Amino acid sequence: MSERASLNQITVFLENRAGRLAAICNALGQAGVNILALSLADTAEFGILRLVVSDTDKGLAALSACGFTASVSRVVPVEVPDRPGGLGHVLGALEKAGVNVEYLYPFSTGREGFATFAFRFDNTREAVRALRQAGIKVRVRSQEDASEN
Amino acid sequence: MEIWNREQECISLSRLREVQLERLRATVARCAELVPFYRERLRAAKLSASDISCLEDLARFPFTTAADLEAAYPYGLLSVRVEEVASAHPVWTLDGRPCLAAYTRRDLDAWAEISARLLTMAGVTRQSVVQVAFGQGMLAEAFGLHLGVERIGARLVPAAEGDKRRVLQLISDLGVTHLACTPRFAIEVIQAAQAGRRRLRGLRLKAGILGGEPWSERTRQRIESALGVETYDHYGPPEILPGVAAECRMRDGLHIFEDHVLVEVVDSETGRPLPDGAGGELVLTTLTIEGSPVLRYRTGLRTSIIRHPCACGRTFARMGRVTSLGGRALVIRGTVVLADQIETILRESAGQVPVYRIVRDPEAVAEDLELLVEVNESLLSDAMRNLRNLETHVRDRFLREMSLTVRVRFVEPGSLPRVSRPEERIVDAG
Repeated sequence: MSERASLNQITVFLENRAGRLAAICNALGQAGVNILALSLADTAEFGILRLVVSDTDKGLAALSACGFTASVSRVVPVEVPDRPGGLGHVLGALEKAGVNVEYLYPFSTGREGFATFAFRFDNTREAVRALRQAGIKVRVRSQEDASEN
Repeated sequence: MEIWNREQECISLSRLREVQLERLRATVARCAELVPFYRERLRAAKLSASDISCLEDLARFPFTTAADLEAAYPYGLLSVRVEEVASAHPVWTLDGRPCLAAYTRRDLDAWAEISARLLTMAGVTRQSVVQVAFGQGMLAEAFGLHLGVERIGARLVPAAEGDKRRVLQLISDLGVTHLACTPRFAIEVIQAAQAGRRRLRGLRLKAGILGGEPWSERTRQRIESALGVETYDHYGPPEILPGVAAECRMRDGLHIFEDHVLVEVVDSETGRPLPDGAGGELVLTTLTIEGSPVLRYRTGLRTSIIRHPCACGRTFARMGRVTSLGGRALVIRGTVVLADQIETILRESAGQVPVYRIVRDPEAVAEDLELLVEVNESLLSDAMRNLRNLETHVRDRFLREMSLTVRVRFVEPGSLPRVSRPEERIVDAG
């Protein structure tokens, strides 16, 4: 269940130097890979970039060709009602199930009236179960490779 | 400034050579007779004290290496009975293994003498208050300086590296005139004072007696201008005798106490002696030590010898600052750091040895070392805390095992130079 409910995320290590983020975006752009969601966690010296892209394999190939270290992990796309208290409702369902959110970041586009977030949980299976039980949509769409799972 | 022992330190060069020759013959004879290691070594080389008719004849004798000292650990190089050892100092050599420097009462007397000379060069008198603040890598040096302070009759304030603010407090409260520590620690004291908005000038502090690691002129200027003091360098391999060379007020090289050690500089590849002024490996032979005398010890450090007379009046030759021979190890605060140790820590913290580089930069004084680690795919995860945990783990181990602080910097793959030997990953920016 959790496999089907999750998407591939690419994690890229980058030093905090001018132009590194641009280099990543350009590499993906030239390979015809679209960025669907992105988050950058940074420290004073380095950053960890997390991306959901339209084609994970192509994206990975483009990044490693440019010399970046990249790895793949899974995140869960969750639809959150775009209204006051929407995210709180989702998080409340997770809290009740005793699931921790490690991080989350939004997709750039979503269904009308909803925002989609990429979630990373400490227990994905339990999280997806709790979300579905609470009637919250865990949507796998807009990523070709993930939709085949 | 005074000279502690004018008779010896300003001895005529011809008289010095006579004294050295006599003491060298006695040392070789002693080694051949009383130390089994040297007895066999000299027998195999068909050499004895009678083969020494001038100082240059020493070049025919075999070297002693750090490996020899380690093999002899603990008491294999003694030329006296173990009962006669008054003080035994374990030392970690540049190979990272222990050896033992053993001194008799008479040796301690010689050690006190050279320490008194060294301290006098930095202006220490009976009226001085000397704070000796060294860490665990510098215990033998601290011990030697204690002997010297006592010999001069100055006041001793023993302290330890560690709490900078406490050291600073003592400097102020006790009217410390001379601070003996590593250059790195002197800078930390300055930083602690600046952070606490404490005045550094106007203290009674006159001089810094610094050693235990290579340091640059820039570091000297930084310390001198912040503290309003003069600084003096000293050197001596702790496995032989710490403080056998020290700077006088001219501060143009370190005078070697040549009545206690014989100095040579050799080509580190061929082992052939080099002329004065040429850079090569420093080789020392003890002339007065009876506990564990050492013939032609290869220090693994690079320097050159200056013979022309010094304006201070001392006739002893001087040596330039020592630098590492070729990255086998780094010496920081008297502690030896080897590629092996770093790789063990990385392997145990990260489960692998990634491409890394470790740099000792005397100017970047916030941390002792900088460890650059290339992030490869198996080190990388989507969670920030994996790299954070690795960083914390590495820092803890350096602190616990070597009492050194390290800054871990993660870099992109391909940013560090590819090398063939692990030693090349060790960079001494000093």
